[in-house]
Amino acid sequence: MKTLTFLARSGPHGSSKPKALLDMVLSAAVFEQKINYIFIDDGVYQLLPDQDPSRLAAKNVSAALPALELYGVDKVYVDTDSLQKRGLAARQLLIPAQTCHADEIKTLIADSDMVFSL
Amino acid sequence: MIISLVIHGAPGATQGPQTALSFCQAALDAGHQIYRLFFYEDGVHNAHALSVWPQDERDLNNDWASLVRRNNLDAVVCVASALKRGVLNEEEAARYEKQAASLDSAFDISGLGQWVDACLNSDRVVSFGV
Amino acid sequence: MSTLHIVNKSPFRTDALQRCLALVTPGDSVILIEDAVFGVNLPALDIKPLGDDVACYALSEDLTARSLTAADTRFQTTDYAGFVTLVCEHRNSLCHG
Repeated sequence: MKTLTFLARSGPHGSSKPKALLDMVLSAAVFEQKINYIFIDDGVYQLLPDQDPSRLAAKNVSAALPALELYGVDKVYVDTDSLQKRGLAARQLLIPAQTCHADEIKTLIADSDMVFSL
Repeated sequence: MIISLVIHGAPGATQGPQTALSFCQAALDAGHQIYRLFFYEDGVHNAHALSVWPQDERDLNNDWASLVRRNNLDAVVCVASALKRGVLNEEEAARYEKQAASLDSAFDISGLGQWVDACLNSDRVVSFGV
Repeated sequence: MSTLHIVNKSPFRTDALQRCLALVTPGDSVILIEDAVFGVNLPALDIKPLGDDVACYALSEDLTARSLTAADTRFQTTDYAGFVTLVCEHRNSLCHG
């Protein structure tokens, strides 16, 4: 078993990166690897509830995030500095996520076998 | 060491694929084993058999296929990324009743399970073109 | 064990390098590749988190392609062979794009 850390850094709907990273996380989960899923930078926007991309005729990738629990992905983190910078500190998030700062993220990265960032 | 690469980015559109190829060659030259090349997202465009490059530009498609064949490398394009980008082998082209197959035969088409397998069996996994 | 941070975007175009600096730990290394080599001449203040305990590299092939040199800068040059060595010497790598 390996420890894989994923940094979700891209906002939803502007690129295929959020889905691409989520698909990697879910695949790694199916193979029962130890996973850290960290939402940071614009990635924190993926955690906003009530996203409605229907007028874009686009899939709401974030709607799949509540399923992380079913896949056994319970180490989900959100970077508080990224939330604060974007005026989102007070907003409710779509899924439970442990708040963290850069120091904790550095530790998670240092303890990982592989790190993927999109 | 045993190294795998994850390649994002279409050839020519971004420098990532060229960097990945040069890195891969350098790793082989240094005696490392390349366990797998995993082409993901726009990276699947590196495995096109139907691209035609101008004579005075680098044909990265040809260079990737040559590298893979010459070194007998395990090169996989992600099926989900490939299908939506029209990178199809004969089987997928027939299955979806598309006009042509476009995947170079040097590459296999498979799922993210192959990427997980690469992580489990490699000492290092490096991403390019992100 | 340490991380090799790989930055591939110009610091004048995106904040990839800044985001990299926010996650660098003593003992890590940073390598600038592709358009990130435009950052070799950044003033020391702009890359302050890159203290003496973080080794900094710029890929020579990308510098040469862009008519740049890392001489008299914080960055040592290395080539693709050196890049491979750096990947092997660090526990993991993290791309900042």
